[in-house]
Amino acid sequence: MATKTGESAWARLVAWAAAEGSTVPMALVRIGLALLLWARWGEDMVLVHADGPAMVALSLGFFTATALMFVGLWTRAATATAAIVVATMYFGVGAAGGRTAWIHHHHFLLMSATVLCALTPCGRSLSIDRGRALARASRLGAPAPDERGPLLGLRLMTAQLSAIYLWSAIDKCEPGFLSGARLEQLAGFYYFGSDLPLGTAMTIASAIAASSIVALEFALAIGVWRPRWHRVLLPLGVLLHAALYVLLPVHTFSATMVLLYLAVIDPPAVERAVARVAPRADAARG
Amino acid sequence: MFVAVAAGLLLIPAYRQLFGGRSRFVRDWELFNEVGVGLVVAEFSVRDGQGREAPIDRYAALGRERATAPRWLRTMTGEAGLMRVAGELCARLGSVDLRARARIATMRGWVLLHAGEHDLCRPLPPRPQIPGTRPRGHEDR
Repeated sequence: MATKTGESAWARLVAWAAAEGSTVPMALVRIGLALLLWARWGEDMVLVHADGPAMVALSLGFFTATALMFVGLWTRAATATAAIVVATMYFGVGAAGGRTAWIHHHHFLLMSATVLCALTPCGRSLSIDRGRALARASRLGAPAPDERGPLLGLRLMTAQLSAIYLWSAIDKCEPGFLSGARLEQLAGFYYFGSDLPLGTAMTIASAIAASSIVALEFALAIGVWRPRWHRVLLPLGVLLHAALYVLLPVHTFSATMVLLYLAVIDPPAVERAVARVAPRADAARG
Repeated sequence: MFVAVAAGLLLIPAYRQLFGGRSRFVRDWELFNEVGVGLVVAEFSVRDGQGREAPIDRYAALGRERATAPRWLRTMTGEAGLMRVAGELCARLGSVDLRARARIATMRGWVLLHAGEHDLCRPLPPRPQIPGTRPRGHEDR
């Protein structure tokens, strides 16, 4: 019985991971990632900063691949190239080459999301490739190709989100953070300096905030996998990241995390939302 | 493939966060982990001959305004940072008995650094080092 249950759970996992669905969410992730890659790395990758042929090649590869990724032209190849370029920037130039300004948490998240995006058919929607496919079908008198594809890449993005929340919450499970002291220290470092107004009210507020953050992170680590929790948890997650974005120098971290929520949400729901915002695009698909 | 990649994403941070490994090639998720460690929050006062203390504003005493004060004055870091400000105050105020109530930020929370027990304008007696007042070195450098 236990074996059967185990087998059925495994079969369910395989079916879930291998399921197909709308390609609209991954297309939105692709477009958002291209913008975030420019926001984070664009200035550093300008050719005037490139010292040596290798960095020139990397810069050219970066801008060409991300531009094609953004507009969705030869999208699979462009996204795969962007993933290779960004992984080279992170591991090759950053980690191995000692350019540690390129290996912060937000850089890793961008790199990881780009690699995972390259595993998706993210060019089947909201892309020039889509327009060309429709034109080809129209020319041949064939039905418009479906905007559907494997959801594996989105599932892996969900795993990345879950891992970040889980390990971030585990890291905070120590008295220094849960007491609120570490939040006070952050406030002191970034805002108040040595004039931090320590006192009972601040201690209580910091401790409540600290416990709430840890509880929310643990909830999100589990909740991203549980669609029923999304309606409550994802807005709270967006609020958390918005607050972090405004209060701390998180660079592209918050925006990337919220962008990856598109991988978590049920794909048809994302497609419906896009159709509501851009009804003409929806009509064109029909 | 899904299981292998997902397991990697979920388990690899353990190398750094659970087992203490240090590698630039492995990402932990210890966000803003050591920021603020070593920060000193202090109030200064001058003690008179009768033991009465009068608080002093370090900015006013040094003829500065907080908004334009240098970083070492606004954000004291480590006991050395506190003593630097104390040294400036002693030089400006002349022969005074300068006291401080100060706490220092560690990963475990706030730790008392001075409770007004010493005149900071005189050499301090040897004191035990407070553990955890410097970053642990978890950041990639």
